[in-house]
Amino acid sequence: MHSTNRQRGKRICFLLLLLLLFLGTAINILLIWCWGYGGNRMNRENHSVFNGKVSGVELLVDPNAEDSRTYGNDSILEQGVVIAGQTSLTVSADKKEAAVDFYNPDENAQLYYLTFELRLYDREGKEYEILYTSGLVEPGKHISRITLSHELERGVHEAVIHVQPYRMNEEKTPTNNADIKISLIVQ
Amino acid sequence: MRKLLPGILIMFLSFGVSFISPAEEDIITQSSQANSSSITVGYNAGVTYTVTIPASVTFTDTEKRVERSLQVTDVVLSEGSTLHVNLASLNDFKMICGDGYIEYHLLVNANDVPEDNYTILTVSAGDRSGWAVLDFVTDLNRDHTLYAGNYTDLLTFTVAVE
Repeated sequence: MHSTNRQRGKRICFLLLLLLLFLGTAINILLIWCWGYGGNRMNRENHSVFNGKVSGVELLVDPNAEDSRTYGNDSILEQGVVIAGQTSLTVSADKKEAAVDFYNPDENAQLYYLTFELRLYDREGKEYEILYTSGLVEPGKHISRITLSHELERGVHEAVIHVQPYRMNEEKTPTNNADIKISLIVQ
Repeated sequence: MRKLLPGILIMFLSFGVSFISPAEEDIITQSSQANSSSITVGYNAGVTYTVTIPASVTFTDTEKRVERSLQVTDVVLSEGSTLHVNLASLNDFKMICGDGYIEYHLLVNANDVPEDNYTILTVSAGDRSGWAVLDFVTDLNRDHTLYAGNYTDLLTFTVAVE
């Protein structure tokens, strides 16, 4: 009777040990899967040699990485330069001062400065001399009075307002530009 | 009664006269209408337009054809006149870096343009706007001798109303 009870106690102890061993193994497998395999499965597949770790740092997909972008389609770069056109400018024959409207439209806000250069062409329309050059004009601003480099003869002259835009960045990078052909009327 | 009758008659006649005679204001109005001069109602529409040019064209290894647009808006021209936009290149349509260069050419609305004047847009009087699609295509290929560097060219858009 005494030995039977002892044998039963041994069996129970053995079964408890087996149960603890089973539970421990199960917990270990679960922890390994959660922290190791499950969290780093992609890197392990691609870099099996490093087992998903380089120098102790786990390799994860960088969420900041973007698809390759083509700068030509960049929306900011694609924003064109808006230039107001005109066809004539009238000045006095005996004065170097002239009333004009050299204007940088509001649409260029935060994008482009404009400079204006008044060029007087010869009769052949090939050579020119510069009568006036402005500084950088901010978007929304006008130049309404200018001083020409010299007085002009009466008549209608062929002239060009050369408009050079610059990006509103630190470098003030020049962009493509425009020549606005006008009749310079001196009276 | 006989004495009252002329009084009533005088009163009646004086009321009638004041009733049918025009007011002083009416007299002045009629007089001014007779002497009025006509005024002119007018609107002086000057020649105006706004042009939007592409700021830059940048080719990359993966993008050898770059599309840009040219727009002319708020156009008011004299009757019979036409607005032209021509394009000129500082380096004859070559992007230059030192002694090296990369050629490119232009398509306007998917068509070749005559290289002698490069007229890329025409807007007639009466039209309020006009636009053109510009395709810049680089001719760079693998056989081309290429040195590392920043290759650039400068485009000038000339606008004239004739």
